[in-house]
Amino acid sequence: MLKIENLNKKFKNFEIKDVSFELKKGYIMGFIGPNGSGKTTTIKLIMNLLKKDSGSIEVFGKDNIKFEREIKDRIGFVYDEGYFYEDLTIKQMKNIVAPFYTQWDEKLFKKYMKDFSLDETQKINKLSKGMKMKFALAIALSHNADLIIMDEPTSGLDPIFRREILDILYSIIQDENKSIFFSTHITTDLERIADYITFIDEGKIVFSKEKDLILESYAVVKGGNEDLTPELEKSLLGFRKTNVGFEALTDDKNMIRDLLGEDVLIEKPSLEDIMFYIARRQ
Amino acid sequence: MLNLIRKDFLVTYSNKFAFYMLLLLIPLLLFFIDNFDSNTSFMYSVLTFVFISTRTPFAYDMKDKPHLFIQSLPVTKTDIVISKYISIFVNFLIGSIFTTLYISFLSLFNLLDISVLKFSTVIFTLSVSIFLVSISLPAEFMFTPKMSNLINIIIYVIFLNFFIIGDNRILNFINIFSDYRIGIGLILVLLYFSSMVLSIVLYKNRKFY
Repeated sequence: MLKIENLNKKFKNFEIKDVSFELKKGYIMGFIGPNGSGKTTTIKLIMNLLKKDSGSIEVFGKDNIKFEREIKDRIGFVYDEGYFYEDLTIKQMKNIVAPFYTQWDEKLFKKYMKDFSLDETQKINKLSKGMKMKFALAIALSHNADLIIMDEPTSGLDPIFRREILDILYSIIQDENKSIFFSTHITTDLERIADYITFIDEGKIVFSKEKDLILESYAVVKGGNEDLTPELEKSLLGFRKTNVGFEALTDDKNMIRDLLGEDVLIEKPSLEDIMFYIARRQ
Repeated sequence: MLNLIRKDFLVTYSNKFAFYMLLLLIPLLLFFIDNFDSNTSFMYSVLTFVFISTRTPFAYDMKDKPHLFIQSLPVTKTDIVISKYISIFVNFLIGSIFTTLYISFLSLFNLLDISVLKFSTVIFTLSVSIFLVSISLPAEFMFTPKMSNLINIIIYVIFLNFFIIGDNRILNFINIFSDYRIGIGLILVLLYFSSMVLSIVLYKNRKFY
């Protein structure tokens, strides 16, 4: 569905370096990383908003530049902000967008308008951020797109809106022919719905794996400061010390257990733990 | 391509400010031109009409960044650029019809005389429109919306002062134009397509944030 290989893009103070990952049909992939890690740049390269230096981007098995029009016809794209003509009404904006898509489904659009409680006569500049995001989603979902790409769709939204949007995404993925790729730094959203996680930091991919595998292969270690020897520090993926003890991330639970026995607590990590410790170490 | 032209048309004319600008302000401006006649009025009005109609969709880019959204639609950057160049003719046609009707209306009150409007003025105005838009559009595809806006307003003001305002300048230019029709026509065609190719290259290499 989406295959990126050795993608490179260099800027003055930042670069995307050898980014590779693959999203298969029927899955949701979360694209995580701290602010400024390269998530939006990668998405802009996929959408050909930026010109890559080298590497390949294939969507539906086709080059994203050579077959740009055909590919975008099958992609539903949602930005972190709407980027609509704000002086227009929802209906006027829809009238502009609809003819561009070969498979625009007016009935489906009307259904989403109703489900999202959006009034077509309302001006876009009067909509709240959450409502604009719902409108963007309605457009992205009303032309039978096979791939939904979203850049930070839940940032700045309250938990109720976020949950609603995640529920919508979850319902879309019930159709096994569709896939979703979405970037976020709110990792709790992904723990609910993602099948795969791709983690980017400082322009490089740290990992791109099944979510459950990731959560199983890492662990959070909690213990007293006296247990945190220099040798242990070196073997950890990241740690932080407080007055009452240390907390760390490891990818070798058995080694920690052998070394420290029952003196430490070993817990299942959250995606946020993993992102925090790895990004800090890098 | 047609959808992009249609999009620009809808955006330009759904904006009430642009609508009033185009329908009311331009005709009013006709009264401020020296040597007020139908030929000068036609050129001034149509040229302003073409300039505003071409600029309005770009003006939105400065405020709401809809160009980012448009690029997520099934269009290429080449499509976007070419549509702007084709729009010159659409906007010229609308501007010409509107202005001719307006001058005809004023003729009823003997303020202007539609019968003196020459076909050569129409052709000359089209040529100047192509020239103006061909030298101003590449800036839209190269610079940020704010910068390109500034550059194009400067180009427009210089242009109007040079070509139109002044003693019989327009008539002198029309005479020169008539004498060298083929040469000027070829230069315009070359300028139009060179500008289009330059804009495509600039837009393809532009960074969008």
